[in-house]
Amino acid sequence: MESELGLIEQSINSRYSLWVLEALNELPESFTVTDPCISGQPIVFASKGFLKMMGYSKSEVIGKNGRIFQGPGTCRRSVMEIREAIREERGVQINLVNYRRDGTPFWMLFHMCPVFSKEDGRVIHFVGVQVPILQKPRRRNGVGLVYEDESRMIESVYGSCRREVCSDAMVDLGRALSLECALDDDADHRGVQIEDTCEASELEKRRAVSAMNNILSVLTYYSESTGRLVCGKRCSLTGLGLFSSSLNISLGRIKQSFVLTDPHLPDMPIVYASEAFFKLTGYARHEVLGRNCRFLSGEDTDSSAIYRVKESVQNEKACTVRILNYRKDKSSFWNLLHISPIRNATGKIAYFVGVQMEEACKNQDGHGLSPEMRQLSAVGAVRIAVRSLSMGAGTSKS
Amino acid sequence: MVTVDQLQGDDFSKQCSPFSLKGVRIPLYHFGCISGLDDGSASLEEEEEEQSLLDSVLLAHWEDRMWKGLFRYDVTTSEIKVIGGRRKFIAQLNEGWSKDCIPKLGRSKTGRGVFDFGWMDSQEELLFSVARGGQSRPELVLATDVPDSALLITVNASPVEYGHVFLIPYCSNILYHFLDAKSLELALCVAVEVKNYSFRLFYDYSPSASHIYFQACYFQIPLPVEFMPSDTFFVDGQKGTCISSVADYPIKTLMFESNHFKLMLEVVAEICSCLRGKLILYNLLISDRGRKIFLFLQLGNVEATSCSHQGLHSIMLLKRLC
Repeated sequence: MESELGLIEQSINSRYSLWVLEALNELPESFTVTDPCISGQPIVFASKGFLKMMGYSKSEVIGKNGRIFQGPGTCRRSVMEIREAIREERGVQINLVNYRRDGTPFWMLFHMCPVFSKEDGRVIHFVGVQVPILQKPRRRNGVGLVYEDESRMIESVYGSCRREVCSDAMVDLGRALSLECALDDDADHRGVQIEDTCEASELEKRRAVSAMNNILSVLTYYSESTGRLVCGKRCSLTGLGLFSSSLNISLGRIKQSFVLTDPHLPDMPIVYASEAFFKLTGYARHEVLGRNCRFLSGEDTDSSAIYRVKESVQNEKACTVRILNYRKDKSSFWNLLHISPIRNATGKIAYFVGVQMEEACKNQDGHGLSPEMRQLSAVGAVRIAVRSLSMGAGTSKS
Repeated sequence: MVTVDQLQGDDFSKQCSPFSLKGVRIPLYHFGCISGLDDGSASLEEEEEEQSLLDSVLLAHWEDRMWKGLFRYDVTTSEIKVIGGRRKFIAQLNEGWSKDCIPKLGRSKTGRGVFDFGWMDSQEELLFSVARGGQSRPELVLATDVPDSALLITVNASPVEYGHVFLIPYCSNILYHFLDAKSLELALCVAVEVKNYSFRLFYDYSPSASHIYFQACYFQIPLPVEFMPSDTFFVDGQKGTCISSVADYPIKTLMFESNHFKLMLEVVAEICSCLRGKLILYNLLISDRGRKIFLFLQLGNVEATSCSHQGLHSIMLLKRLC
């Protein structure tokens, strides 16, 4: 079984080869590379510039999720925007407050881009570039939308607060409130407090874009050496490629053993399996994905149980069966398998979920939720994750 | 810990007819110590990389009822689409739903003005109850009497989305007459404890109803209003609270964001009671795991005052409170 650190190293090395590390470390900019296919979407690479800027050492950063650099001053809407961009597998450029290791907050322009597999269009990595912003606070809106009416902006003369108010009856009220608050607010922002709005300049935006281009060229170049090509734009989408990384992220939260199979592909292969499944069966990811579940059955598996499963799938119904399954090491276990069709936004069946429960392990977890209930909660979580897939016009903006 | 709203103190006696859940034994989920609400400040807790207990319990029970065929239709068969355009509104085609699916007032045998819920007849729809606990960790009790002060969680047999439930505040055999800090706190606790960005709570103020209920459902994509730009007019940096007006949205909407849950819910509860005093219709949306509350101001059919004035009244309140 792969250790987590092993997975992280593999993430870069298997795709771009070992030599990419040197090339990436030669780039001066601050950037990180994350892997959405690993549970928790950890950072798999952090540039020297990044570590220096943030004050962290490499071991403190690799394997962690980017949210560790966020703090109370980080606008939650911006965090949501980033999360949505990841889910929709597109890039985003946003102003964001991050915190250094010593706790000081600072504004930066965060520019993120997905890296696609040329072969099947899957998202392999996300690259994030961080450009610190020289303090010139303007408007409170993380995404930097431009308001047509410039007079809406009030630049407070009190030095510490910036306020934005509507141009109707609320204006005077807003001014009054800002007056009161400005007098209370701590004027020193080099300490713990920070301006509540900020926007990057054109120069800073250009720096971010050119840094991104450099990084993407390095990654593309080195991917040629392993034959597992990547590119900055999605080129093609094969069947397996359609299994978006966003699903990977939401399904990664589910700790039970389960698989998703695709009834639209020939022989209904497994398109996703949870970490717990690998642990239960002893198989590795590459030994499972793309195969039909029948490899779990063996000599003494009751054919009527198999038949019941087949029948339910054909009739698009849910079912629970008690079936004898075999691990990779040939040992067997009784599997209380719950299968259910899962629909996406079109209302049609997109996948079937199979949640495994080893009968011998029917211990209640400390919280009091029965194993059967835990199985059902896994099904529910899968439903929510798949429900909003394929929502049609307007969602993907690649 | 829990404050009794002075406003409610006088009117507590004129609640709707007592509603007894005697003999009803359902699972009970005890909140753990929620740092965000108890000491007033939200630690920047790490996002849990797995489902929380309450999240699992809710999903498990809902899925269980689906398995048992309790719902009028399978909501996941309804197609949903994003409408092309600036605001990306979402449309759902649900052929199983009709006007009869909204809980009606007054026809229930429990009394006039009480919503006619399915679970009042068939207990199957009652999932579990939720209440404050004494431990620091959350706890699930498999079957017990409904405690004195709790939130009843029941399914909506005609769900609008997956996981659609009603959350009904309940206290000493009486259903809550109106929204106050105490009932809002219970609902907010649920949002915080579910720890799932897909989970959102809703509340609709209805002047003719004699008791209140919240609704909640799961939907992975943020709602259009959450993407709209906002004009912030109040910031309290120390308490991490800010109040904004949502721009470019068809309904006048205020957004409250805070790391300081207790303060936010007191402010919102106070504003809502003022709106109620003026019979101004409004709706609430709690999202972002309890950190954001949206207040939608509806044009009341009682008063002819414009919405912006109603909004202004609310804001005047804020200045007084904060």
